[in-house]
Amino acid sequence: MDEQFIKDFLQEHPEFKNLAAQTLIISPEKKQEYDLDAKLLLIEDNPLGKEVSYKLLHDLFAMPRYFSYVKKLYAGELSFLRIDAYENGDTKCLNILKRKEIISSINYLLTNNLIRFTESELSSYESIKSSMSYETFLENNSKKTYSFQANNQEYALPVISFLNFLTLPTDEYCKIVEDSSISTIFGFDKRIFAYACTSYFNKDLLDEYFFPKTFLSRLDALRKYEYIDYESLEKLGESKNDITSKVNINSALKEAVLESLPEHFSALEKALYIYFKLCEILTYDEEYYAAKEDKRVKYKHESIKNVVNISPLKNSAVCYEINAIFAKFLKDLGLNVHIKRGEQVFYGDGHENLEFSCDEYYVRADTVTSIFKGDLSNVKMGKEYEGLKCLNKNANTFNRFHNIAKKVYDYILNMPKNKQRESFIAVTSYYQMVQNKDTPVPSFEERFEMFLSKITSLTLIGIDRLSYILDIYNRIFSLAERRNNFKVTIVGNNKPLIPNKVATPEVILSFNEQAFFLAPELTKHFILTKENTLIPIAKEELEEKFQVKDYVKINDPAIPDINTRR
Amino acid sequence: MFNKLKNINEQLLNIYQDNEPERVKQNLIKLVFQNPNCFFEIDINIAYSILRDLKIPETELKTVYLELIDSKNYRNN
Repeated sequence: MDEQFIKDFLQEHPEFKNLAAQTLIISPEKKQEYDLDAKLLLIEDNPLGKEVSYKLLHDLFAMPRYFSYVKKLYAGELSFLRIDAYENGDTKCLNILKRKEIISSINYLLTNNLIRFTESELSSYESIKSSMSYETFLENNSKKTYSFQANNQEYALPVISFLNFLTLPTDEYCKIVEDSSISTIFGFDKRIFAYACTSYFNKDLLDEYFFPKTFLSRLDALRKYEYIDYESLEKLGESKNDITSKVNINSALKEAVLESLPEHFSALEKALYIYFKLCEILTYDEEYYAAKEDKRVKYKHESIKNVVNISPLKNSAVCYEINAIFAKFLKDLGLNVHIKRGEQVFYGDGHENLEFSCDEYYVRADTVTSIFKGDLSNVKMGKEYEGLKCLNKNANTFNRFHNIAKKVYDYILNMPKNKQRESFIAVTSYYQMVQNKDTPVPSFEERFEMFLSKITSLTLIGIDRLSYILDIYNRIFSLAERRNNFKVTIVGNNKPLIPNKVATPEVILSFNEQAFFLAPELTKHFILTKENTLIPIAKEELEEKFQVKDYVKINDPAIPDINTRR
Repeated sequence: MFNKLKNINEQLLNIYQDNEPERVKQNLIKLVFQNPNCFFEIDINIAYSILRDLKIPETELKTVYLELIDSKNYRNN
């Protein structure tokens, strides 16, 4: 009946012939039979679970046409078995079953006497099952060699070594993986061996055979890097987006970075030292901050040849330039580097950071997580760095990394070794709590005068100048005052008076003794010039500057009472 | 000026050896001063509180504070 069904079906619907070659199409009657039948819930690899009829599973080995698809599946001609039901002129997918799912489901049903096979059906089933057994895997693979690459080197390991390792007696296995003083497995570097083992036993291979439970749980534990941390080999086997061959570092900059680098530092310590020194020496380019979307400004930084001009005296740079310099230093140390570009493709197209691997450590480095609060600022201020992150999932590796980073950072800051810096925020919070009373401060008017006296006598330039202004603004005025009475906004000035500059940041001060929202007509605006003098500017004139795009906003909330839209 | 305040703090720690509440405050101030840029990271009310705890005369508070937050001291480690 089934053979007749498919014959009639394909005669009536020749357009389904190609589909029928890859998909088991069943009749409406059979679908109804399976719909009414008891179901087995498959949950492995199926987060929501999927149901399969007992009868359908039985029929896969009992009905010749169905079995022909099973044979195709296990011969590797199909990746999975798709079963469609014919309904009203079309087919609808009923089930998709993988090799292992079919065998383990039927095994369950047979063991629990929920289905029965004839002798010949059972023989077919056993033959298929045997092709996926661990013994068959051993027969097919144990004499093979696995070739792979790690740390830019080629290796080859016999597959039998992985099998011997994963089937070691428990105490021997635990000793090898848990004892960090043991650095080899069967004479091979431990991390590289673990990396090779987990790469060899990839998902596809694990789907083809039934492996012993201990074998699988050991592989699973290895994949979590719980004891052997080879994650850096996996994440960064070789350098990516490598532009370092095109990078030339300015000789004065190189000398400034490396002159006091301790010889006895490990490769990782040297890498971190270089990172912190670059943050100390370089600063973010003020013009780029003011007008980075301007093509003329972007153009100045887009060419990688510009990197050689960045020196301790001409120390303004943008993220991808700093990245290129740091990557070059890392490559010179023999480390693998991956430049991370996000959605962009090309150097100079947007924000960049980089990742590098060193021994077991896999590290992300971003000098410009924020222009004012990133490490270009933090390191100069001796604050906690935030741009260095260890990406390893192994907790011990993670902790070791940050201890090393702290040691190098303290060395750079010239901190005495026995001095622990308590969490600054925790200490100041506790101090406030101990005070238990409000402390009087000068009036708003007096503080305003204090602030103006500071910003009109500045000696800082560039991003440091802006950073200073924002820092003391935040320190001297309360949150309420900053919201209601006095606002400092930084905008981009596309008509700077400085020659050869496309744009510069401009500081706008807005003041209202009542409150911006209460009496907007009382709001006064001032521009702080590059010479640090305050020039009043009328609301209409300020709005006009935005209308004609002399001024543009930079990632900033609105200037009180000013319409900045064109 | 910052070094001068650190010296005052050390002296007061010696003086207040038997005065626990004051000694606790001076120890906290000592921890705050581990950060040479602390006055750029604490609000003015905490700064004034610290200066008062260091017995800086009221008439000198403003002058001292302005010197501490002067731009020449910014980003000095």
